[in-house]
Amino acid sequence: MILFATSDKGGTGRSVTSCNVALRCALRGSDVCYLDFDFGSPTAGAILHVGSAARGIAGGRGLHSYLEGSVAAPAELDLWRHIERAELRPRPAGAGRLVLLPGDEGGGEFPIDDEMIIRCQRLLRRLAEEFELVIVDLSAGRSYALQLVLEVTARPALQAMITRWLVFHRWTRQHIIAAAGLAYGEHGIVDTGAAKGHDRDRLYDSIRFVRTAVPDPESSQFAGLLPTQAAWLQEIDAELQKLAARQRVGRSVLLGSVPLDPVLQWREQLIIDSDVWTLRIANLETNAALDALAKDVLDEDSWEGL
Amino acid sequence: MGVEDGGGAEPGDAPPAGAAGGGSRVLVGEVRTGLLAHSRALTEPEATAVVALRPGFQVRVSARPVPHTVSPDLTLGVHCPVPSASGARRDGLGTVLSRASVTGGRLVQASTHARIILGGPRSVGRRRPWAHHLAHPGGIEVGGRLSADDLADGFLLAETGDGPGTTLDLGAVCGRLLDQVQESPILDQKPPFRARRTRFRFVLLPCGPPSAGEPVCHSGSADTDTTSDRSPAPGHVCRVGFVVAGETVRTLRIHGSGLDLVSVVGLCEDLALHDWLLTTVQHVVAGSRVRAGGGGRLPSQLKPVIDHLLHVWMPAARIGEELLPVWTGLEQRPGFSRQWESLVAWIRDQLALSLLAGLGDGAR
Repeated sequence: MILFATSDKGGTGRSVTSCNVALRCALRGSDVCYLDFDFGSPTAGAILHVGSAARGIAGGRGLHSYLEGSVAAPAELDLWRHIERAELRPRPAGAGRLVLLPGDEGGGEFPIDDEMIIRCQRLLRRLAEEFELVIVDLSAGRSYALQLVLEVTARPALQAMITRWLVFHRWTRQHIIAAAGLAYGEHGIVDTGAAKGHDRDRLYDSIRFVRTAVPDPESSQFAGLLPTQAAWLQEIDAELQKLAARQRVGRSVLLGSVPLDPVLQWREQLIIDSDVWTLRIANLETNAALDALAKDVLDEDSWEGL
Repeated sequence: MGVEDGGGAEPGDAPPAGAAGGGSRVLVGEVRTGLLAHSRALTEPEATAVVALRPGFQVRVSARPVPHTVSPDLTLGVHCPVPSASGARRDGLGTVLSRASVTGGRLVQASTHARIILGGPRSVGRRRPWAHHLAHPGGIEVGGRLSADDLADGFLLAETGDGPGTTLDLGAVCGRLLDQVQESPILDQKPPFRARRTRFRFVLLPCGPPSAGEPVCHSGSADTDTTSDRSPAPGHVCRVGFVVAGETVRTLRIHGSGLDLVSVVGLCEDLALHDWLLTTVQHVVAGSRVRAGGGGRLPSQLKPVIDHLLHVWMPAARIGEELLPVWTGLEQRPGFSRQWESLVAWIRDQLALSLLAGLGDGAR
């Protein structure tokens, strides 16, 4: 499966959440690869604790160079060898492969040409041949990267593959409206995809949403609230639920919610067991939510058409 | 089963004695092997259509001992520096030959090779016209002094073969061809399981005393002295060095004389195929040992291996007499078939255990 991770706005936690999903799927035994298609700011290496590729990879062998045609294949970093977290080395027994394809250091956004589309198609097809899950982390908004992958997935060689979409949004009014717009609005995913030759209904059915930084009024974080504040939180939450349903991003297309967690917000890092149990910096709920998200991503049932 | 062009156009293409220096010829090549992106095994007509890459040219088909379909040779012109371990920049001009094959309707390979003709100092400044190179497909002429071992080391030890660089990159040509086959509209892109591609790089050098640089790259390899006799008998292998250089990279260095180059390429394709089978099945078995289902349940990952791969093992099926010593040597050390049999036996044991467990459940 090729999974495109996108969001309408920046700062939704798209990259950090999808990196965590990639890690957890690999720990469950799937072979996973993660492509940093956030061309304007290729920093997936930083989230994945790969110091050497924190701002993209040096030496002109990243995804930018590959798509521009200056290398025959982009660099593939075996994360079990490159992650700088002692708990994840050596490769945990039973884990699948976990590979990062970083962008180029200093790489930026670029307009798309036909050659690039062919190269991108060739790369995604080959990776889908080798990996059970290929996560493509796209730039926020209606970017060149989004255009590129919508073009590529409409091509015959990739039409046979399973391609799915995850739209990340924070749990606010503005973000809900923006996420719905990116998916179903004018020049959104469905709209643009259909214009490029996708089957509209199929594309529509392949989109799911992930809510990030969701405050849970029931959680201990909010235990010290005044009764009036607690009531207000409940009220806002209910309002947002209604808005989401109206915008067609309600529960039926929800793949998961990740709670508000300082480790995700400030450090933007991988959350592993020791963060929850030994260091006690991450919340248990976050851990459970990420686990559930990883499980649902790989579960066919959660992607069934409506 | 004719050989249309390439190395076969010059029978008895015997490299002259003397490893380094002017006038020697080195065969370099790479084979990439992978699982065909299709949900079931291809039938013979389908396999033929998949590798019919050059209109008007015949696809070669053989049915025994396993169905095997080979594309016509594809020629690609190259003009760039050739690899060198010492970093010497020597321009090569000529063509490389590539072909793709499907084995057992399940495995796909692409292989690219070239005979590199090291001209020595006399060829500096002399460049032949393209017509000459097109009449001798698969040959690359190198101007300037470059030793055969320098070239071979540079080619075999190159880190990935895909990096940025301006030297001849057979791996890139080969990978591209494999992509092209896998993109065929005949394939449904739904392989029964995921498997990594492997890269198998090989060189054929003239017989000669081991060079100073050689023991380094032979560490951990299976060195097989097939014979100490260096008489110029036709079809003669002196030494073989096989190295598992990484998770998916293997290198093979053959020293021989009077060998038919097309047969050597065939041998390397066969070795690469079996190495891929070993690598892939070993990976699946290692994974299911860690995640053993318990209670005698058959680990689910083993089923596609039983369905699709176990019957493809057919070592040295298409190898000529003079190259058999290479296979025999590799069977002794590291022992391809031995490892394969042990893996297959383990899988069958798991199957038997799961059967017993199933019978036990039924009786209860």
